[in-house]
Amino acid sequence: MIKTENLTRTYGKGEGKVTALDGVSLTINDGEMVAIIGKSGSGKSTLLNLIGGLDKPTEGRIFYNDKEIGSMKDSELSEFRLKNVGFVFQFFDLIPELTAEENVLLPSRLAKNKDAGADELYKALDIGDRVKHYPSELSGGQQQRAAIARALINSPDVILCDEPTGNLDRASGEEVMALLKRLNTEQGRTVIIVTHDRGIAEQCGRIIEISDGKIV
Amino acid sequence: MNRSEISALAERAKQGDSAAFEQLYTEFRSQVYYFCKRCVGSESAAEDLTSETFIDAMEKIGSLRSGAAFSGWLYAIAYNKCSDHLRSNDRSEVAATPEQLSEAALNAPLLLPDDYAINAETRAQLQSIIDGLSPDQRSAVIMYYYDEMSVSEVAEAMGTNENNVSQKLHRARKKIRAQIEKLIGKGAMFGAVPMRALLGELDTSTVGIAAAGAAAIAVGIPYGLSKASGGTARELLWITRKYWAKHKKSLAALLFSGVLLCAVVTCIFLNGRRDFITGLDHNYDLSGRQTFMITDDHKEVIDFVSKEDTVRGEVAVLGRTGIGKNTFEYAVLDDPENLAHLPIESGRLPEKEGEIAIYRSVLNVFGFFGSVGESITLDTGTYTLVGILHDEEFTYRNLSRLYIEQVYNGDVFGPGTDSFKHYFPMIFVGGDAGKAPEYSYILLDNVKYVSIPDKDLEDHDSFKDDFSIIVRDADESVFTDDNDGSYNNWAYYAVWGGIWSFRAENHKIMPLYIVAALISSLSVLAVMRNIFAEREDTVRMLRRIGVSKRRIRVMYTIEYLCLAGIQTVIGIALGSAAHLGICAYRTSVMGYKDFTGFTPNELSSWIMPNPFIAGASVGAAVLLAGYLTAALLSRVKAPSRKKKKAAALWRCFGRVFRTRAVTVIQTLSLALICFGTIYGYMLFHSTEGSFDPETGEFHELISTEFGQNRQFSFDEDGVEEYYSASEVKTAGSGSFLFALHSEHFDGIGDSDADSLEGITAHGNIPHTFIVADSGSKLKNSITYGSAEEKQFFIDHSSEEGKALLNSGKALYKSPVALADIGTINELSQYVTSGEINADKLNSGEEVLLVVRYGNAPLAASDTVTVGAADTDNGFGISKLTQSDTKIGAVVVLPKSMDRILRYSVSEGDDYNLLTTASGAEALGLAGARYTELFAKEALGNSLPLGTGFTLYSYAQQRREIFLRNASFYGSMGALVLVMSLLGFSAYFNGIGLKIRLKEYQISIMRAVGTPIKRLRRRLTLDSIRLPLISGTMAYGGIKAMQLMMLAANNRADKLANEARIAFNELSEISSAADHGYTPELLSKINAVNDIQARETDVRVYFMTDKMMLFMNALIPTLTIFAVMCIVTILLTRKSFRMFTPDIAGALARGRKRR
Repeated sequence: MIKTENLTRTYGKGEGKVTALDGVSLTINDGEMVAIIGKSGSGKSTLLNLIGGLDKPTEGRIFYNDKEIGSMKDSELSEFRLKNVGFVFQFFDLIPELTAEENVLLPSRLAKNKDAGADELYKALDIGDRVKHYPSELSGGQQQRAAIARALINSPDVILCDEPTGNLDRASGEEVMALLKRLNTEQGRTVIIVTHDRGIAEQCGRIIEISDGKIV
Repeated sequence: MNRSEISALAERAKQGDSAAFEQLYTEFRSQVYYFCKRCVGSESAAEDLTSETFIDAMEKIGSLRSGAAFSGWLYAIAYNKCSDHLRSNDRSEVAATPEQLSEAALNAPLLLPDDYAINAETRAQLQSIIDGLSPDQRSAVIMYYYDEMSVSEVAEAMGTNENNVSQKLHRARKKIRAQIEKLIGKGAMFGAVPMRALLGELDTSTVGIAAAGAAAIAVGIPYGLSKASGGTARELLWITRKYWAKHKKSLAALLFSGVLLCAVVTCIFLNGRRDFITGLDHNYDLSGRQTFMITDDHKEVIDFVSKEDTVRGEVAVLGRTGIGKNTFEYAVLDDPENLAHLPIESGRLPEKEGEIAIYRSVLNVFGFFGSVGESITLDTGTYTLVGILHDEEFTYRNLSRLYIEQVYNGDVFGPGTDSFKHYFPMIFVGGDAGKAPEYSYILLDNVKYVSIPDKDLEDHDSFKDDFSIIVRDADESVFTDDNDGSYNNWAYYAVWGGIWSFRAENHKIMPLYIVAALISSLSVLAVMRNIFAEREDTVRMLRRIGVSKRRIRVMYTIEYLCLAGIQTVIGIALGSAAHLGICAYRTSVMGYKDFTGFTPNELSSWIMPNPFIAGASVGAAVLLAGYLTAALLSRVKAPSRKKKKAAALWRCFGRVFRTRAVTVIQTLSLALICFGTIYGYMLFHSTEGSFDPETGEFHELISTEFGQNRQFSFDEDGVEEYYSASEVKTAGSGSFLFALHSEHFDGIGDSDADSLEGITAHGNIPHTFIVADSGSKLKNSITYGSAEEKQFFIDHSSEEGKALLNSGKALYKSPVALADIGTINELSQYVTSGEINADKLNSGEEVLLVVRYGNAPLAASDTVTVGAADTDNGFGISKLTQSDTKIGAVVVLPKSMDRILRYSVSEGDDYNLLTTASGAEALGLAGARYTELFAKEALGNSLPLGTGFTLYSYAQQRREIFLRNASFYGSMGALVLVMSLLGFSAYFNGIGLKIRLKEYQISIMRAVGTPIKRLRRRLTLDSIRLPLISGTMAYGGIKAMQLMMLAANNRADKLANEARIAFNELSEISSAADHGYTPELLSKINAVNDIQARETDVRVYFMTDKMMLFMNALIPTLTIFAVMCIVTILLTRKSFRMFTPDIAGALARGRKRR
């Protein structure tokens, strides 16, 4: 269960102060598939980054099963991210110097997780024949699938997606969504998707709409 | 001894072989002793227990199961002995609960304070910790870690099971660790050290310390990194390896800069070391000792140095021979080893009677042009020439020359100034030393380097820098002469002077080295900055998937260590190779002595850092700085520009293309290249020639001109070779100059010259004068300075001299020039009155008056009195010659006359007297000999032995010029090339980086409709700005340096003036004090010394070189600026070619990258 309490995040100070997130409290249960929607600049990505531990809140707390992650040290938080959270980004964020396979296996190597079951992942994600290629040699959909595989390699309970289909054509986008749904329904993982696309959001079990940093 | 050897020995001992047991005893005695000592704590008890153990062992050796079990068995005995001993002292250990422990855990390194190997206090504390363990634990620890026994062996030795031993070890470790942490505090720096190293360390030699230190580093760093990374060090290394594999160009660029930097520094320090060694060899033995020669007049000095432990050998001088009027001294060597360092050009040193080795210059003087193996006849006999010694400027040592030190009455021969330097013709005659020497010379060879205690440093400012050299006797007491300590001072200054001049040279060249190092550093920084910019994205992604900041840091650290390691190894190898290449060139082409930076020499490692450590540490430091700067720069955000108003398009461009850090690096590296090149240029000119600040002309050191005033040219005057003899040396006071009586004079007389067909001979006797009644129209009357000076002169003169000086007659300077009669006859066409009569000239009845400038002051047939004075010591007149003669003819020289003819009269004087050598002799003038002979072709080899002439040849001169130029342009070229490679690589990297980084911005600008032409123009102008700023900076730097030098020069001049004033005061006080030192006098002496030392310091540290002061740096700066601009334009144009008409593609790529 993920719970946030009065989550606030501001940037800058003085006149230029921007409140990206303003006292958001929400609870996401294990196994839920949640879409966070909102307009550009509404604070949805900020919320996702805070939940994923990429950013620290100005105020408020975030709990994973009663464990507060806001107060963790950088190394603890990194470790936590490595083992418990899988990230999927709009621009895939694959490391260009590593092949798809090396990218996928990187978190498991770092976590010393030898029996990661990568082959099954490739099969499930249908990228088995492209894993020896570098990201620049893959199509957008393939890159995103590799990114998802990387997010899943350490079997995290939570998968956070920031516009996972934003950079993909419709067909690839649908494939990715189907995949995420399967992960949620078949394996019971919590999936949180940030999107501005209502069509995508409606495929999720629950929709949280954010406007001006507040839940609507 | 390995285990199988021990085992075999034990088997033999078991069979009753007592020799084998003895070997075992030798092998194990100290180990057992150490073991017992650690167990029981007392040395005497340990000794007893050790002997008891071996006695027991010898008795019971039969009961030994097998040879392999020997050590365990022996320790069991020792352990029992120790236990018995301790039990009797009522100490025991409570058993601990069993625990499973693996051997690996036991051998995990212990974290120790990282200075434990060198800090005696820490070591003592560690020792006490180990001593503080319970007896059982201590025994187990020592057997296991120190004696390297296995757990089972220890168990057997202690009579217990393996579990128990493991437990004891584990507890002991825990205890040691806890104690160390308590002792040092948690914040201390720890290095991981294997327990074995620690134990071996605490009781062993420095080799052990070094090994343990190395082990601590070797184990500690990977262990620490692995620990810091949470065990993922290997994965992190893998990521960086992957990165570099994909970015080979960047890797090559980085390694190129780093390797070059490391190589440059290594090479510089190796060169410095070689220069120092060469300098030492030039002046001293390689051991840092200097050889002095002292005549036997100074009994007390000889007594002092004759002590067995201070004197290393002696040279007995057999006798003299005269060559013309030139006298040389022959030497017999009783200990050839003293001369082993002498530079041999060919052959070897004499080993048998009748053999001889001679300096090349001395052979030249003899007119001997043969080679090794031929025989040579001197007036002492005929010898076989077995060796020719080298006496080029850069290879001679003091020993090979005779220096006349006038200050100490000429008794002590020490390094004097150049003008008092003569070749000392070392003719080494092997064998018979039995003949009674006329003089004996002792080599004083006991100068030691001593470090000065701190308290002395406070008293002597001038000692502070490095060290000083003082003559000491065996009891370390400083030797001082009874009177004024002058020998001691003299020795001190002599040796110190060499070191000092080495430092002065080094000071000059140092800025160039610093510039080179700075440029390479900038290059590393630029590449590193580039790489970091490229890698920002990768790092961000790693962070997202859960890599902590600490791990990122560890990743960079691992990468850094690997890169630094590679760079150091290749850099040092490259630097050494370059250095050896330079040395090989110097040795084979330039003919320098074959010293390299690797020549073993204890002093060089003392005076300067180890080249390899310097290279490695500078390389590593710069790389580290590159990492840190790049890391810092990647965090610095561009300052907010919100408040600026909407800018013109021009300014928008400016903002977009400005990448501050890169621009700074580019500008600096360009400025440094510029500065370095100009400075190198100035340095060359200042060392290789002289500069005339008035005309702004530069005179090269070696020219094809020659002669006393460099007024002839090999080329123009068609002279292939010529002979020259040394000039007469002068000494004097005020403007009154005399020839020194003791000076020898080389040359040939008229009769000899006449016998040589086609020869032109020249010479002059400068210290002659015309004696006239007052009221003469003659110019250049001789003055005596002040009234005191005149009185001083009169006081020091002979009766004859006194009479002349008091006669009231005026003396007019009029040097007598000499020429052979053929030359004189050629001058007859310029005779304006009178007639040249050879017979009257030769008899001294007449002389010629030669007028160079102005009107003739005397007419033909006027009678003049020609005088010449000799002096023994430079003061007063010892011997006086005065002769009346008539002016035979007046010769007025036109400017158009043959230059060699013109050379036959004195340069720089309005008029002079001219006669033949025979005429001068007839007039009683001293030193009437020709000094230069031209037209060697005419002479062939007929020049008589011992004429005292040195041969100069055009071919040889040209070769020297060529070699010097080749090596100068070669080395300057190499230096500029390396600097440019590095500097320009930083600069170009900058241009490339800017354009690459700005690709997206450029695409956007193009997308909104800015023509690429305009962008290119903008970027080119932007780039040109850099050379402009750099050129200005470099020029400013050089000018600032010149101003600094000028200021320093003025200061030094001021100090020199102060010293002069102080010295005058000192003279007054000392003459008033008569004899003995008053406190006032002493303090004045100190003050004068102090001012003089400060003056020298100023001149050394500020490189106040006339040439560098006046050199115009503008033209070189402009030249370099022009080159940089052209390169920049070309490069920017080339970079722009990467922009294709496909703007959309570029935008997409840029967006993707962002």
